[in-house]
Amino acid sequence: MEAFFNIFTINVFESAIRLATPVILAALGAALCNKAGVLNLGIDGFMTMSAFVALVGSYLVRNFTSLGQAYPVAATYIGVLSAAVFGGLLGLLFAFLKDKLNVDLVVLSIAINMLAVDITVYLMRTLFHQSGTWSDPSIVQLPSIEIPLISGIPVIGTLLSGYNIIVYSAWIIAIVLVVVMHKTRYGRHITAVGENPTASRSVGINVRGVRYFALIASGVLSGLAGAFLSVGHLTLFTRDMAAGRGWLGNAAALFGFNNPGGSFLAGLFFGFADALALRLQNVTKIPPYIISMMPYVLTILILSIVSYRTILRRRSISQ
Amino acid sequence: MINGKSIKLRIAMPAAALILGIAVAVLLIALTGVSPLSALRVLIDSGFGFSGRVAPFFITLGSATPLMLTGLAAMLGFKVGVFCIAQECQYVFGAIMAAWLGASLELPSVIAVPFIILCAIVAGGIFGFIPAFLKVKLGVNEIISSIMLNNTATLVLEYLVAFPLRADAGQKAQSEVIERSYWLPEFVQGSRFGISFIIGVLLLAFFFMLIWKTRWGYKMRMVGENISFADYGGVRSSRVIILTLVVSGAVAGLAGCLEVLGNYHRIMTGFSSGLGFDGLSVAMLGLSHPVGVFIVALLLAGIRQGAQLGLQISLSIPRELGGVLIAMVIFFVAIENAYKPFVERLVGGRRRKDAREKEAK
Amino acid sequence: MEAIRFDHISKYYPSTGVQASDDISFSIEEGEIHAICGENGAGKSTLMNILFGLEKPDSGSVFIRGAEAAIRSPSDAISMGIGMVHQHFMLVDSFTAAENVLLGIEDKGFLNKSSEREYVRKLSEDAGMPIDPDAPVYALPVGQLQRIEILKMLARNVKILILDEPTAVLTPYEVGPFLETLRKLADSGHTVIFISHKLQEVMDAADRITVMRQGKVVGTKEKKDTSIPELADMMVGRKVLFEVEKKPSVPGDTILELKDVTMRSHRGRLLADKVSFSVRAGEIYGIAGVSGNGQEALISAIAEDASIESGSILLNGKEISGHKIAEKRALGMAYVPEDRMTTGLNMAADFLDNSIIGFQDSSEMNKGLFLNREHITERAGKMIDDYQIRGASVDGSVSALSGGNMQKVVLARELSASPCLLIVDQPTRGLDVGSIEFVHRMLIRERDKGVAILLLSVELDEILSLSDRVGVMCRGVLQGELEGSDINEHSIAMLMVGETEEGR
Repeated sequence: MEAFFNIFTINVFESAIRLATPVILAALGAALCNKAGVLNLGIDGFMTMSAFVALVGSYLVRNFTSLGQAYPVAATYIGVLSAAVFGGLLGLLFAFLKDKLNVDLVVLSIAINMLAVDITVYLMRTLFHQSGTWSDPSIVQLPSIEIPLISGIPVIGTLLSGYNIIVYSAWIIAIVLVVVMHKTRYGRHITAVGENPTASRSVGINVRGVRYFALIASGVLSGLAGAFLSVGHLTLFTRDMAAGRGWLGNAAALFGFNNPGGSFLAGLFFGFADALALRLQNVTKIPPYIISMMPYVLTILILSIVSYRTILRRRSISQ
Repeated sequence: MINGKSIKLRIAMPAAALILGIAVAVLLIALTGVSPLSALRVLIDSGFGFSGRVAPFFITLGSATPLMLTGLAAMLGFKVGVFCIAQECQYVFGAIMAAWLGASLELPSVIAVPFIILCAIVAGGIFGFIPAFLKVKLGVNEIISSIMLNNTATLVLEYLVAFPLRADAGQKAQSEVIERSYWLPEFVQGSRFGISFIIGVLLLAFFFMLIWKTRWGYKMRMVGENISFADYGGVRSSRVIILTLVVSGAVAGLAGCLEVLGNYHRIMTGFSSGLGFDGLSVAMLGLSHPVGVFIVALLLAGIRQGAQLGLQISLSIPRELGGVLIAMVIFFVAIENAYKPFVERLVGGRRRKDAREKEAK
Repeated sequence: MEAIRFDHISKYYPSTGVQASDDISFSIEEGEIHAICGENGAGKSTLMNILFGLEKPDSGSVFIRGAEAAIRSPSDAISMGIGMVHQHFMLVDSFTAAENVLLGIEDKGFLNKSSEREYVRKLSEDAGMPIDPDAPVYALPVGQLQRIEILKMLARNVKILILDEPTAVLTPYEVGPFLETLRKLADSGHTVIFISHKLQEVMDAADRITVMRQGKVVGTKEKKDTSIPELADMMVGRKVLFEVEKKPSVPGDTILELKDVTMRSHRGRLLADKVSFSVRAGEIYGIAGVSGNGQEALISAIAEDASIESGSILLNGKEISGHKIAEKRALGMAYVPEDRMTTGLNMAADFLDNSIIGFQDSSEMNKGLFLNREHITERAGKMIDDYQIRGASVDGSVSALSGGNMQKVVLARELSASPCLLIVDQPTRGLDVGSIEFVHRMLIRERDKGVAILLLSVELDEILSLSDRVGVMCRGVLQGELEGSDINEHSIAMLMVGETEEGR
């Protein structure tokens, strides 16, 4: 039992918070899309492709521009930026195809997810002649940033400070989304569009605009999540880099009732479980797979419970 | 709707998607500096050819079998209007059943093999029932619940091969090889082409008959095409949907079981590798028709095969090209509205032109 | 002062070949309640959609307060002070009443829920339509939802309010107060345009009435200068009424019997209140009533699988309420549903598949494990010949058939097994005169063969010309039954508006 508590050291929490970041970002993006009524199941694929783009971007800027040669870190930041832009473009593509051609986003997502794994490996092999993983010693990792004042406080300083910019971005984006969704007209419009697009259109809400926004934003968020995987945490790319973290994000969004706050917490929790799975195994003998499974099982349960309650609610109205 | 032109169009659309997918693949091949034409020839030779120690065509037949079955499973869902993608999960649980029972049963194979198959079918059926029940009774989106189940199943399998079913302390997490006498026979040594293929073809034929020639199939189609019409006519649509998805799950479970009994003889990490989604693609490209499913399963298997054995080994083009090609084909299926008018013009070209000429006169 | 003037508006739908608006010109005065009447398909909704910017006219223009207006979208319309309440409410279920009222016109910057709440409360009280601003919409009754829709428009400072069949969704109890609120709105300077085909309401509420027929304006009348019969004539026009030749009925045994059937909606509203009647073999029993007075609920319990709260429904003496549809069909029930496009037929399927629904489990259609395709094809071919279904072939789609021929397919199928009870719901809606005649003749023929027929129709003429007995529904109650020479327009109309026979 003591051993069990011993694993919860501050360092473990710190790394768990860090490792939950891509799941949180994916969850926020998925939640936004679910709210706006444009189910985006392509996030996992977005992440894998963006992770590749981030590393390639960093590599190119680092080695082939004077800026990159002078400031290696700047190259990495540009890599992150290009991943975010790339993710945004994928979101734009989804939105455009949905809007202009009425494409089924589920089928499109399936295609994108299949594509992501193979195209990145294909390009890695043909362009960089690496088979399993690709990394380049010249690329520097995204640096950690200490927040002045807070970093000095014991415990809290360790927990809240010393992460890279993507981690902080995830937090800031979560807070911004909470405020936007609950406190401004824009949040209300997004919810309205997702629930009843016809009604929204009839009161002059720009339904198309909201859908474009949600899909592009989810793309940018997945782009950041992907960049975190390839240049934020390590500096390498491997086959299927997202490895289900995108799906974990989709699950977390549903688990958090598609609210940004709830999705953030669910993402943190799922990411936490994911990060802790291996450590827990050592002391509790719970195999990591069982812990990793939990988010999916919980999501099915919560969805069933919510649906059941909706049915009960309808029944109670009729009585 | 049953006139010649629309049938032609229905076949022309996936064909167009395939051509567009190949076009993208050609571009990607050009990246490597290999002539796309010779690459395509190698791809076809090593995917569908008859040369070599084991004819590639037979290997393709073998690896098309699970695609045929998961494609059939997805197709059954489509027929009742449900986009259920739990095939991956059902496939995995079917395989787990086969690997577990196959390694632990001590019975003569005449009893053991049918029993194993039965258990795998039941396992698949159960995981067909769950999303179906959740959808029909609680209104839970079947796509979401299936995805959660798929991810869960993959982890269950990894857990099982890493711990309880692990064969040895060796590096690779895999289960014990199943009892030798339970192995399903292969027709061509080393090709995977065996009795499973025959079972797959027979099932396709069986469901063709069921769907278009019997009252059960009639009910399925009516539920899928117009549920309020079906209900009006006394069809109990909820029951039809649940039952169909249970059968669909059973078929996918059988696919996993046959892969273990006839091909791998054990399960290991990464056993499923996205077969569920492949099944979905096969059903979509195959126009939800058994014949289409059969053709597309062969095609996809051949492309994968050709990419792996041909492109990678003899031309050192990464085998991922096969996956990219398939993904692009599905992408083009998804955005079919973009080029549908064009294909329509091609297919019905002459008639329109005649009409225009008539108008001109 | 003139609020709106339509000037030679025309609109043609090439896809359906319907001239929905045909050179329409008339004007609406400011501050009046102006009703627009007409049968289904007369072009009322199209005209209002043009006014609200949802449709563009092919030619002609709309003048608002004397100035020509280019209304390209609902937003344009709203900015010009024109609001519309659609027949189907456009509300966000999970939002509160206040959030729905203010949707799209919220404050910029941060939202202030308490000031929103107060604003909506005051708005609703001032308009004489109090609502609870915090109530979630999914839990509110229909009447409240309608208030929210109207408040939504008032919150946008709309001066001209279009209401598309506003009373269709209300219970009869809600209609009176609702019409009073309209009057209040008009008194406070709003112009109210309301679309209806219920003449009684129109006479109760409107100042002036414009009648439309087949895309044209028949005329505009001051209320004081007109009457229900005159409006009815204008609406129907010189439609040649087909007199069905029919012999007096020879009723046999009771086939269908309803005893004290009570039903409620899932929101708890009383739909049918202790309804009792019976239909005998060889007679046509017509149920008349303004739609929404409980007829639909009764049909869903008799012919579909809706459950009833109390009472019993007997078919040939056997209780059938709550039974599966297939069991009812097996007992000899046949049913021509109201909507042939979505329920009566499967547009995605061929004629053969459409010809056997309801019989898919019968031994006649099956041979061993398989469907008996030969028999089915032969039977379908016979249907096409017997009913002269033009344009149909056994393996062709039904979606290309005309409305009349579609209805023939449904009738042919439902009558194919010689049912003892035939339920027909709006059997001639949207059909041309020739098809109407055919359907009517068919129903009389079946009656003479001894089939018990339950006829539902909102077309009074249809009820009058076909029925041997008539039951009139009002507010969920079977207001009265008429027989023989008592069946006439006046007596039915009186019952339809809720006057009982005794009360006269």
